[in-house]
Amino acid sequence: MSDRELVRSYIERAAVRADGDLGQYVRDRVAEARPHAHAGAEVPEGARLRGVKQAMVAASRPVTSHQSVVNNQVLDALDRVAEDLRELAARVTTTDQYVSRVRATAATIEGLVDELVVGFEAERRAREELGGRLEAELERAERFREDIGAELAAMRARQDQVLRAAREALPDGPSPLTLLSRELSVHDDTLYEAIEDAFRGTREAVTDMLRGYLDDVRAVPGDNPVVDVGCGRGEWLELLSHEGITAYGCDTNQVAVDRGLRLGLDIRLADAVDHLGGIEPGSVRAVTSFHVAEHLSLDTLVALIDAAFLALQPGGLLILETPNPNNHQVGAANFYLDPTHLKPLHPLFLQFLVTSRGFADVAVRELHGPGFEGLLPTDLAGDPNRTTPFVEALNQAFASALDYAVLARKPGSPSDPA
Amino acid sequence: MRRRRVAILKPDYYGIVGGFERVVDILDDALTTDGWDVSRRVVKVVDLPLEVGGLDIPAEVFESHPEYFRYLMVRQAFDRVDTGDADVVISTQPPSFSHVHPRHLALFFHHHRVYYDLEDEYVEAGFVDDPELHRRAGEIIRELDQPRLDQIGWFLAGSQTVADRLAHFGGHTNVSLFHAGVGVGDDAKEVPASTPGTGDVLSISRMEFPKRAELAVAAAHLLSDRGTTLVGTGSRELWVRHLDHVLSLGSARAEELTPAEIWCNTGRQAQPVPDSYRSPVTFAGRVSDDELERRFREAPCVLAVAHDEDYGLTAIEAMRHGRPVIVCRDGGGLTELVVHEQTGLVVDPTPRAVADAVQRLIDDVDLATELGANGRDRAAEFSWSNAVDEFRSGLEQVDR
Repeated sequence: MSDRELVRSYIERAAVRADGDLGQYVRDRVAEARPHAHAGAEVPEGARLRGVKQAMVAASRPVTSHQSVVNNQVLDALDRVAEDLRELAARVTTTDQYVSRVRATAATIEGLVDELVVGFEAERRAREELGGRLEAELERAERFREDIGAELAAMRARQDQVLRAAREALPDGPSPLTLLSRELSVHDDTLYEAIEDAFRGTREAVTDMLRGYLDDVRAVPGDNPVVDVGCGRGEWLELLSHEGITAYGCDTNQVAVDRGLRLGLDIRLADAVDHLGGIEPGSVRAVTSFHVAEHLSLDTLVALIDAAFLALQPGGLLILETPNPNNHQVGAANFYLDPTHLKPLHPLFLQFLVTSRGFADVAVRELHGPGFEGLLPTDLAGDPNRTTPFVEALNQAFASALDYAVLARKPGSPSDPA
Repeated sequence: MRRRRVAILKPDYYGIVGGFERVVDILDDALTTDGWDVSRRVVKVVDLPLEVGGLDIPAEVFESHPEYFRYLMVRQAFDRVDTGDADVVISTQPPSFSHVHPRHLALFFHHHRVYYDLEDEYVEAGFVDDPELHRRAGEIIRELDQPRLDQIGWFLAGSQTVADRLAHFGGHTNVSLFHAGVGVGDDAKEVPASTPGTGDVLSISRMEFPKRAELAVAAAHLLSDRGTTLVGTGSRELWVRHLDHVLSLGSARAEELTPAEIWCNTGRQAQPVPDSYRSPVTFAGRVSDDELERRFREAPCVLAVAHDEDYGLTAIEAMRHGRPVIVCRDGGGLTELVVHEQTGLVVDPTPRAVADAVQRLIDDVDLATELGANGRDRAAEFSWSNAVDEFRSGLEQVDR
């Protein structure tokens, strides 16, 4: 092969290889070889020394007679292979292109999914943020409502105070002290103390019962004092002092005041309504009153709640504990052990009253069980469907709490002005 | 979130950094600004073995048709580049466009020219020993290119001339134009307006086939009282100097030279020339930017007489400096930029026609001034920001 033919063959072969069309290359070579397939069987016309070659072919024919057949078979087989190769190559190319498309599409989809995820995430965050804003807005509105309510309650309390003062100024008007102590003063202070000693329980027992309020007081921030109205024997003040909580008492009973002073307690002889109404508004952490409310007339009770409202700091705590008339033993009998009790206060009424005077978070807490288990529906013979409501009524009447307390909070947070 | 990926395919021909690299850098920046994750898939031509589809090419065979075999080797390397992870592929110089990808944008400045639009001139000039084999190789290349070009989603042609070639050779009309900007990096700084100078006529050209610096030399010898400075160098410099020497000696007359005697040849017949002799031509070689600015200022006009250019940055550069430009009718992309008697003069590719055009501009300063001013306005359109806009709209065509 001349150089030129060599170069030409490489140009053609490289072209075929460039696109992987090996099949075409083989087919071309087969086509080139086909005219020479008869080699060994006959000598082409026009060949040099044809006669000599024919003689040689004739002589070797017993050996080479099948050569052209073999040659053609090989070429046919190559042709088939070439055809298959071409088909295969075409498929590979198609597959490659398909794979390339699929991969590029997958890359794009991956990107789109990422975008969607980011979009969803942004949407979720926006919703959350909106939700948060709404909640804050609601909270703000609620606080605003509370503040307005507190302001209104304070205004009403002041107004009532003025009215009471005006009434007192009238020739026959009763004084607040009289109102508060009307029930107490008709009897001897000593007698009352004796009654309390006899029926309220021992100091230790009372202290134990009061211990449950410590956490409520601690939950109110600040160092303002706790004022205990009608502090009696001073168990609560003692407990508070022991816990390091500033507190003082207010009582109109001279015997109680003297005894407290002897115990080193700060107890002031004063009308609670006057006292609370006279001190700096918003300067008290908690106003507590255990078993006093049932001694007061409705007017005085309202005046006390109002005065407490004014005296309490925002968020300050009011505790009014009193016998529970829902327990029939208490309502029908025990209540009257103390002749200075005016009438029992139903927990729903006291809760309503406190709420109506502007307090928030007003809750009733039942206290001091009767000391025995209530009945179970199965304790009675008969169909439990029938006995159950009856047992519940019985338990309510005889096995419910002996006392209850109304706990309430003055609206506003400690940072708010009173 | 995953940023969308674009792969830029680029052959690296022996580390040469030219205009195309600048274009790619700017588009890379623009894509990154637009939020794309850009990666370059470079095929280093120098590293490729002499092999096509498992067929080893003997060195002597390769050397007989290096253009052909190298093209197939690089094409094969681009076939093997993995772009399955890319959302969009951008191809650049040939044969990177032969890579197959469903979203393929071709930044197309030219085919493999010696097998396309320059085939005849290449053969005629005597660059190939065996024209028949060269033409056969060209046929093969065009046959191999066609199905690959058919799969390209969109072409950004470097000029209308290039777009016309795409339509002519392969019937491709999914094409919009991309005009590269001038200057380095950002848009070039404003050049102060000035009237045409009174110094040498300026020709800026790499001395390669068919940039035709020879035609500027031949024209220079027909000018009576004005010198011509040639900026640039290249593999044909010996031939360009030889031609100048011959014309200086008076052994040949510029007017009588044929294209084959001037530029349409291999230049291999060049004889060494003496160090100094009298000539209207000054060979400035490579010059600094500052010196180039000075030469622009001093020039009455600028010659851009190349044959069938893809684009013609030289002409834009000259117009930017407010100089009228002389181009030839067969100048390809140059004739898109220079409109006869508006931004310059378009003349026949003969020494006489070029020399007459220069003389006309020297004699008619008003005309030269007007054409220069118009050229400045025209050149302002070739900013990188416009180029990037054209690029983005091309990208939209494949990224939908």
